[in-house]
Amino acid sequence: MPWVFALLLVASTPTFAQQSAPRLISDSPEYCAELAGRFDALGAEASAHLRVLANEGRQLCAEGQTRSGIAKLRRALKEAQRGE
Amino acid sequence: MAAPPEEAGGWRDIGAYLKSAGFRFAALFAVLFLAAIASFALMLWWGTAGTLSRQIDDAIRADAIGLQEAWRGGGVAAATEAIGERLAVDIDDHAIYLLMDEAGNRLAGNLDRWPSAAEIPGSWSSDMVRRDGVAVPARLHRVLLDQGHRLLVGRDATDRENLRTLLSEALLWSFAVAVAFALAGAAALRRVLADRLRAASLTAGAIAAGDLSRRVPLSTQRDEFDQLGASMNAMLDRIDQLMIGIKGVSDSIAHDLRTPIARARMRLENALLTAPDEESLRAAMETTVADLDGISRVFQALLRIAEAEAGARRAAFARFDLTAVLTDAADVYGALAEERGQLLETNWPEKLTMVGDRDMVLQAIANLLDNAVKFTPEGGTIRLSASAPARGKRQISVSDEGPGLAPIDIARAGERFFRADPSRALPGSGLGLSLVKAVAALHGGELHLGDARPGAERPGLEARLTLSSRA
Repeated sequence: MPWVFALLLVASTPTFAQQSAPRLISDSPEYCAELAGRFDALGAEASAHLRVLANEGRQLCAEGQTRSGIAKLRRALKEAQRGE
Repeated sequence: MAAPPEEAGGWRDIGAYLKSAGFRFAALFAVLFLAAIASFALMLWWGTAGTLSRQIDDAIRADAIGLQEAWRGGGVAAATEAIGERLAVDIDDHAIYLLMDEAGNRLAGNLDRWPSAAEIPGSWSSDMVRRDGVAVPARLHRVLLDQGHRLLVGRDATDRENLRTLLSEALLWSFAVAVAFALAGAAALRRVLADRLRAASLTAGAIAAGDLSRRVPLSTQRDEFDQLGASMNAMLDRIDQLMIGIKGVSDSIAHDLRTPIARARMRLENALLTAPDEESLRAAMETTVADLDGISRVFQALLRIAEAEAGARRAAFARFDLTAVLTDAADVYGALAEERGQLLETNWPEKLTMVGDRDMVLQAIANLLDNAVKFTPEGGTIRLSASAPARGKRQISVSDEGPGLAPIDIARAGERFFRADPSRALPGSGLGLSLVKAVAALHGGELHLGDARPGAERPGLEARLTLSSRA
């Protein structure tokens, strides 16, 4: 029953619509750099603890773990925002 | 082409099964059970996935309003900065923003291009976006800004979709289990109903086949089926009694009327054969007519009893003054008593109204007085009295100074054609008290017989007829 396998194959592969869907770009190294720039712009406002957190984020992005790095930088920025 | 007989029988069986009360009750149970499960599932869905959806939409709406305010306050720069700030602190990484100019250039946000679903009319849409090459569901809200700019605010709806999938699977399994339970419950219900009704059905079948002694067996549960069975048994007992009564009446009619009819026939035959002259023949015929009138009166009495027992005259019930009826009866039987050297004493209040059949009540009083006059010796006293012993009750009492009735005869008095031994020598048909009892029952009352003077040599008979004045 080849048609059954063909049907299963079609069902298991991403559809064309899914492949052509818009892409989220907030997980790229460029965005990581943008977030690092935002944190740097805070200057002396950021505490030492937050600077450590942001540096860890930068390090992860540099090592290719972009999403983890972005998450750390976002947490640093969020806590800095709360501190304000 | 006609179906083979066995096939037609099979379809007929299925049709009968589908039409059976057991199946319909079971189907109703299953539908109600599944409806309850469906309502529960709906409420669960509304309270979880529905709430999450509404929360996502509320967050998007609030976000979009904030960005529109930024746009109105500082244009592209302010909106771009606001989007950047929001994305920078989006720890959950769920937010989606896209700001585009009139030419379709991306000005800010984290989406590489405008999604096709957001192009269609309506400000809200659901679409797929790619994250790390994987398509994920997203909820999107389009806002048109001035100068041809467009803003898209959205949220990654993966969590919501995961919850929906989990819920759908759980509810699907629950529904499958519920269907299984509903079918099993329906089958059990149908079986229980069939089992409980089988006894009544078998009993009815046996009675229809002629075995009138059968009764519905009752369980110890005393439930609705037992109540139905008990009602059926009571009905069957009553039918049995009526059948015995009818048989007794038939026997009595045959026995009691055979003699006068035979006597009339013999008298006519003798007169025909031996009458010396026309006068003798005429005398014999007159006597025979009187005999036949007596037979006719018996039938008339039987018909009146049947009429009273059937309650056919209840529609003609009306309010009347009982004292007027008593006076009429006293006038007739007072004169008769006087002729026989008896005294009729009466006692009743000035007014005593009731609702009922006036003629029937008069007939009942007349029958009681007739018996009293018949059995009271010369010089004796007959008492006719009436009162209202309780609210809604009327009591008529007739007492005589006759020989009275033995307790065993009192128990049988009122049966059609029953006559106690001392009365057999006197004229009568044995239907008088039967009619009084029937009239009492017709008026929601009863007839009570007892000694008028307990302990006396001739105790007499007191007949107390109690009637409901409201019928």
